[in-house]
Amino acid sequence: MTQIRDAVNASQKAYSELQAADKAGANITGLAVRFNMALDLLESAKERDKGGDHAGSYRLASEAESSLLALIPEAQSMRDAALSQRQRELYLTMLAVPIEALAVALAVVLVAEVRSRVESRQLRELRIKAGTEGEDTVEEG
Amino acid sequence: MLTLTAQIPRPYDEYFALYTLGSTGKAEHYFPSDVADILPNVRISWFLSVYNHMGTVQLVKVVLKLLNSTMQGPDQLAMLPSQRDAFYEKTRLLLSNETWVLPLSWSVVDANKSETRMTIFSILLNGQNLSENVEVTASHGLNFRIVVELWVYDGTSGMFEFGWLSNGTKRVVWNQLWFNMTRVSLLPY
Repeated sequence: MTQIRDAVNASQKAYSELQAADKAGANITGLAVRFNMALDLLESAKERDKGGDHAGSYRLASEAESSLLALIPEAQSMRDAALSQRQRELYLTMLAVPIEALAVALAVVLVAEVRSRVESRQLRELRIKAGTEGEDTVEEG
Repeated sequence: MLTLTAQIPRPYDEYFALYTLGSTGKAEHYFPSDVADILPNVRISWFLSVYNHMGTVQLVKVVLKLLNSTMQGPDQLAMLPSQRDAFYEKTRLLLSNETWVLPLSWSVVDANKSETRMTIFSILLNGQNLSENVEVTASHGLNFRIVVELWVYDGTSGMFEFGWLSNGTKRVVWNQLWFNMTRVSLLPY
């Protein structure tokens, strides 16, 4: 039956678009639910056709086809939005990598500087202490 | 560096899992009273599950075939389906990492027993009376089997195919449940 064949073709086109949107990273859960509902309609249409209810089959197959065709532009726009988002994330990554490297380098320099200052201060304090103890020794002598 | 590491894709094993569970949703109680010698019009309840681990949304079809022991089942080595036509099919779009559970409630509604043979003519499955591609005869009503195959839509060929490609390697999955029907009523012959 032509209408069933049209609905099957629509399901293949819609699936192709849904898969592209999914691969682009879009959340297609809602579209998948509607796709499966359309598949159920299509199967009911096939059953009715086998049972001789051609009018009922035509109606269900048309409904399935409309539902499936309606998914195509939605999936396409979700795919485009996901690709744009992915592009933005890629730019951010490209920006983030040198910033992260710079931050790590700065942190290393800062830690080294703080450590150097602490060590210098400790050394100075030791020298002062040693000097004071030397004076005490001289006085006693 | 963390950002860069997060962007590198991890190796992903692509596969589908197909399994049939009994009336309790476990690998048990496939037949009433756990007796695989069934009677006509006695309802049998199974749960068919398909799990998608392909990493993307997939369009799949479960195909049920009724065979006897001498008919050719699917060939695991050659990765070919059974040549018998399906008496029931159900298509479903599966999200990545989704498990689809399809309840199957079935009974044999028309069967005929002759001297040494039992023939099944029709099955009631999920409220549908199915007779197309059902007729099958088994000697003494022994060793009927319902074969479940997983077919996956291939966008390149535009067709459903038995099995799928996983990193360039063809894989298939199917299972089968055996049963007998030696009587058409509780009364012995």
